[in-house]
Amino acid sequence: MQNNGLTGSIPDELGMLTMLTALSLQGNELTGEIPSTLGNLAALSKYPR
Amino acid sequence: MPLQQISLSSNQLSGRIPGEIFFLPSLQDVNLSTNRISGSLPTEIGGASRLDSLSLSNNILEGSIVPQVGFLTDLKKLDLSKNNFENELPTQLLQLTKLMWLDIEGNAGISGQIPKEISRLTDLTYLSLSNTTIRSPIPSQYSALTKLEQLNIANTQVGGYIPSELGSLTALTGLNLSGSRFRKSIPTFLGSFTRLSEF
Repeated sequence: MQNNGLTGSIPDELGMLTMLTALSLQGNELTGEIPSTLGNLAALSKYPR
Repeated sequence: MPLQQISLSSNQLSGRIPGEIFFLPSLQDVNLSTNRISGSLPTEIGGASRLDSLSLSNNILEGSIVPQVGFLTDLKKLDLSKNNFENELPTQLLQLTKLMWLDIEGNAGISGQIPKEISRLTDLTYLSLSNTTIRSPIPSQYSALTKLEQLNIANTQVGGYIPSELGSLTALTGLNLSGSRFRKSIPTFLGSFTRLSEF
């Protein structure tokens, strides 16, 4: 999803995409904060730390 | 596989870096450069033990470069350039022996000495400390960095003599020492930099 004209913020719900291996949103016009829910994906991992 | 790569560069993101992302067990690549991210480096950063590349350049991050960075022993690229980081570089940086790319430039508050032990980072190909307030001469131990292709120590408080040992850096293609406080003449060992295209 890089280099689009995406605006607005990154929704917290991205943290529910448990199959996601790469999040590529560079080169947009996104504002707001990086959702801490991205870190939730760790808890759902089948690979223990 | 859980999230391995987070690329959010070149947006207008603000706020702090959420420490939670560094608990992602497979995280290898984080690029948050060119945003408006503020605050300090979260200490949780040390949890991302598989991190290979971390780029936070061109934001408004502040505070110290936390010693927990030293836990990222797989790190090959660390780019903290163009922020407001301050204080001395943590000695724990010297544990990152796989580092190939270290860019601290453009953090006017980064001060202190260039540690002699930087010679442990023998895989370095790119090292930039320009536009910081680092002082002290260039340690002769830099000569151990035989893979170094680009060395930037411009616009710093670094002074003294340019050590002749730098002549062993034969892989250099770029050397920028402008605007610092070196004394004496241009050293003759520059003749050994046969690959140099920029000086």
